[in-house]
Amino acid sequence: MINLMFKLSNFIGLGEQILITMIITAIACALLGCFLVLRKLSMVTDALSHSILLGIVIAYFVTKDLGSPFLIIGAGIFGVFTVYSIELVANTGLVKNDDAVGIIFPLYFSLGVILISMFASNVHLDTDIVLMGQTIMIPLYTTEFLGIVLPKSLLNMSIILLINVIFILLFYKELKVSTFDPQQATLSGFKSTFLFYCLMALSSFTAVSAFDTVGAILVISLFIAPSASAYLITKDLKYMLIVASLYATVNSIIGYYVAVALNVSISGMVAVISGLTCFLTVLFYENGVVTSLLRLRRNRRQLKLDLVIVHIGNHLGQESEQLELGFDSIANHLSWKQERSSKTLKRLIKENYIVAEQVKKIFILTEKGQERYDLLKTQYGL
Amino acid sequence: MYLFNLFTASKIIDIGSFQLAFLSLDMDILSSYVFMVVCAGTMILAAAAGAIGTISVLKGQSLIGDAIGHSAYPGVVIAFMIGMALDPLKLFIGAIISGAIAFALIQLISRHSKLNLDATLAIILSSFFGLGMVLKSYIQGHEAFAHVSQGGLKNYIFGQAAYIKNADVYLILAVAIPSILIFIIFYKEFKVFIFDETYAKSIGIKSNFMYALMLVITMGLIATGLKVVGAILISSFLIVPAITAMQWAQQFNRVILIASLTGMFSAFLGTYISSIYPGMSTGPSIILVMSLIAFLSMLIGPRGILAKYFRRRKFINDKSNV
Amino acid sequence: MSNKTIIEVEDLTMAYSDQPVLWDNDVSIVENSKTAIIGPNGAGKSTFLKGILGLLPTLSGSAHFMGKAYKEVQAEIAYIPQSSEVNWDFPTTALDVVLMGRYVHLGWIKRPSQKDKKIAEQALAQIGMSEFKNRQISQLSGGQKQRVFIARAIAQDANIYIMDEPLAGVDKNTESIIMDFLNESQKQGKTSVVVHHDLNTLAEYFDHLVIINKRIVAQGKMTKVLTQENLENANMNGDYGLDVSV
Repeated sequence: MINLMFKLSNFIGLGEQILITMIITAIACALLGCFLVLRKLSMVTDALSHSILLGIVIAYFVTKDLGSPFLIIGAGIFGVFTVYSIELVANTGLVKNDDAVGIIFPLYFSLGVILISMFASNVHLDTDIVLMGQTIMIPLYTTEFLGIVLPKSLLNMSIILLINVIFILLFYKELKVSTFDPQQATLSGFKSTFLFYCLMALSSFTAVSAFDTVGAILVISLFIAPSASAYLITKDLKYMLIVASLYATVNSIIGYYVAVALNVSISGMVAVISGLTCFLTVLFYENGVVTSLLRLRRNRRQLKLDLVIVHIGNHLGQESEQLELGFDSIANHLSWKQERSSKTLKRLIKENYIVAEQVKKIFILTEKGQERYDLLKTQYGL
Repeated sequence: MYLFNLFTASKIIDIGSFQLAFLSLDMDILSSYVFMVVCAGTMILAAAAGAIGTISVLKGQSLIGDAIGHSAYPGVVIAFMIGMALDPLKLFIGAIISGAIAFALIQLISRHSKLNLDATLAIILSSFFGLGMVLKSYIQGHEAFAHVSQGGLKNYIFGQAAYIKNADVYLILAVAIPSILIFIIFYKEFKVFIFDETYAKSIGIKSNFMYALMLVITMGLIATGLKVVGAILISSFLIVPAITAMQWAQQFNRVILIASLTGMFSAFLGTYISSIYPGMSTGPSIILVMSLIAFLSMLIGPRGILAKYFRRRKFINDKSNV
Repeated sequence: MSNKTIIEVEDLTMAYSDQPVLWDNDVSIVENSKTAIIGPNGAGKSTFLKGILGLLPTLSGSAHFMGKAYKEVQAEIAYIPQSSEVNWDFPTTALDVVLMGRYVHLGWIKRPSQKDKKIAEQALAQIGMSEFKNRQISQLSGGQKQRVFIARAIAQDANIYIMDEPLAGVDKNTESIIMDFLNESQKQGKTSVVVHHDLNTLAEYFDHLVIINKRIVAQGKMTKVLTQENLENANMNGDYGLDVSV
C-alpha cells in the first residue's frame, strides 16, 4: 500500500515544501490583511496573534494533544473572543480603542506565559516556537490527504487559503461596501457587525493555523506588510488583493532563500524582508517619500518663482512699488534672506519673466511675466 | 526562578495554601535579600513607567510604546554580538538605538505616506522583532559565539525579573530618576502640550522639543524594562497604570500619582506572588495584577460600568416615581 | 479709536507642502478695533492666523505686532485655537485650564502662585463660570468649554486677542457673554481679531473686516468693506444664502 501512495517528498525537496507552505500561508494572511489595513485594524492583529497563545494553552488543556484539530478551533474561537473583549472594553467609552488593544493583549499573553510555565513546561510549547514557529520542522509532520502524503501545515494552510478565497469571492460586494462605508452597509441591509466578526473569525483561524509554522510575530507581518504595500500602489480593491498576494509570494521566496543561505530563522527573515519591501514601496511608489520629496522640491522652486511674479504683479503701479519692489528692499519685504532672493530673482531674469527697471530701480514684469501673472491669477482664483 | 525556590521551597505546597500565604505576607520571603533587590527593581521601574506612561496614553500614542518595545530587541542582540557579553549597560544602549531608529521610521512612514499609524506600527514592530529573531538564530548557529553564554538573551523577550542584580537596580535608578526629574521640570509644559498643542505653540512651547523629551524618557524606561518584563510586555507598564488612574482622577497630577502608585503596588504584589509560586514568571505576574486592577477600576470607578448602571437605574426609578 | 496699526502683515504667502494656500497678503489690523475675518471654506482663514503667529511655516512675508516680531511679544497676545484641536480626554478642571493662561508669564520649572490662581478665578467669574471651576473640562457643554478658553485668554492678561471661530457651535448665552467680553476689552483699549462665520451678526458684532479668499479681497472699516460686490469677489454670495443689501 505504502508504495502506491503519492508522496509529495518524492517529488519536491524538503526545502521547497517549506517554501510552498510559506507562500500559501503568506497569501492566506495577505488576502485578509487587505481588509484589516483598510479598516484600520492592523494593531488588532498584534493583539490577536499574542492572545491566541492563551487560546492554544487553554485548548491544549482540554484536548491534551497539540496536533488535534480542536486545538485550532478552540484557539480560533479564543481569538474571536479577544476581538470581542477589545470591542467590549472600547465600547464602555472609558478608554480609547488603542488603549483597549494595549490592555487586553498583555493580559492574555501574560496569562498564556504563566500557564505554560506553570503547567505545560514539559509540553513541546517553547516560547521560541511561540514567537517564531517551527518553520524548519514543516516537512517532518506529514499527513495523508486523498492518497497524498504531504506536510500537515501545508494541508492546513491550503484549506485555510481556500476558505478565505471562497469567503472573499462570496461576500466581495458586501465586504467592499462595509469596509468603505459601514453605515451605508448597514442601511442597505448588510449586517456589517456580522461581516466584521466573520472577518475577525477568519483572521483568527488563519493566525492560529499559521501560528505553529511561522509564529506569533511573523503572523502580524504576513497580515499587514504585503497588504499595506499593495494599498499604496493600487487604487482598486480587486487589484489590491492580487498585488498583496504577489508581495506575499515574493517576500516569502526572498526571505526563504536568504535565510537558508545565512542559516538563520526563516520566519524571522521573511518578516524582515516583508518590512523591507514595504519600506521600499513607501519610499519609491508614485506618491512615495522620495518621489514626492523630489516633486515637492521642484514644485516649491516653481512656487517661489510664481510667488515673486505675483508679488511684483500686485504691487506694480502702486505708490509703494518703490519700497516693495526696489532692488535692495524686495528681499526684505518677502522676509527672505538676501542670498535666496537674489538666486530667485536671477532665475526669473534669466527665464525672461522680469527685468530690472533702471530708472526707478525696481523689478518689473516682462510680457512673459505678465502672462504668467494673469495665468496664476485665474488658476488660483485670485 | 529556581533561585527563589531555594528560599521558598518550604512555602510552595499547593494552591490551597494560596490564600493563607497571601493574607499573612510571608516574612521569610519579604526579608530575603534577593526578593528585596528584585522588588526594588520592579517597583522603581513600575513607578516611573506608570507616571511617564500617562503622557503617551493621554497623547494617544500608547501603541507606539508597544512597537518600540518590540523594536528594541534587535538592538539588544546586536549589542551582545559586538560586546560578546551580557553587560546590562551595553545592551541598554543597543536597545535605545534600535528603538530610536524604529521610532524615526514610524514617524517617517506615517507622516509622509497614506499608511495610517496603525499599519505602520504593525509593520515596524514585526519586521524589527523578526530581525531580532534572525540575529538570535545567527548567534545560535555561529561558532564564533559558541563559547559565549547567550541564554540571557531570551530574557529580553519575556523578561526575567528574578535575575535582577544590584547592577540592574542601579541602571533602573539611573534612568528612572532623570526621567522623573525631566517630567517634573517640564510638568507645566507637558500639561499644556498634551491638552492643547496649538495653544502651547502659541505661547512658545516647541512641539518638536516636547516630542523629543517624551521620546527620550519613554525610550529610556522601555530599554531598562526589557530585562525585567521583556520586549513584548514592557508597553503595559506604561499603558495599564495610566488607564487605571484615569478611571479615578480628574486632574493630571492625581492621574500621575495614582498611575505611579498602582504601578508600584502591582510590581510588589506581582513579584511577591511569583516568588511564592514556582513557574509564575515575575513580569507576567505583575502585568496580571496591573490588568486586574485596571479592569476593577473600570468596573467600580466613579465613572465606571457599575456607577453608570446605578445612575441609569436611579434615573428610571425617579422617572417612574414622577 | 485711533487709526494706528497694531498688527502689520506684509506679503504673507503660505503653502501646504507644494499647494499654495495664501498668496502675497498684506493686512493691517487697526489698534483697539474688533476685526472680523471672513471667507469661504478653505479660504485660508485659520492658516492665516497660524501663519502670523508662527505656528505654521510661511513661504514669504512677515507679521509684526506693535512693531515687533511675535516671539518678543507672545505674552501680550492670547490665541484661542479652534476647539477641534483640543484633547478633550485630558484630565483637567476648568480652573486648571484657565491657569494655563498664566504659564506664558512663568519661567521654566516655576509653578503658578496663589496670585496666579486668584487671577484665574477672577477670569472664570468674569465669564460666569465660577460654579464650574472644579468641573472636569470634558463634562462641560460646548459653550461652557468655549467660555473656559475665553477665561484662559483673560487670565493671560493680553493686549491682543486672536480667536479662531470662537462663536461656532455655542449657545446664545455664551455668544453674548463672549461679545460682552470683546466689547469690554475694546473699552480697555485692547484689540481683537476673530474668525467669524455668521454674516447676520457680522456688522453688529465687529467694526473692522478682512475678507480672505486665498488673497485679501478687501479690508478696512466694516461699513466700507461689507458690500455685495466684495462678498461676490470672495465667492461668498451663495455660501450663506444671505441678502446683504444692508
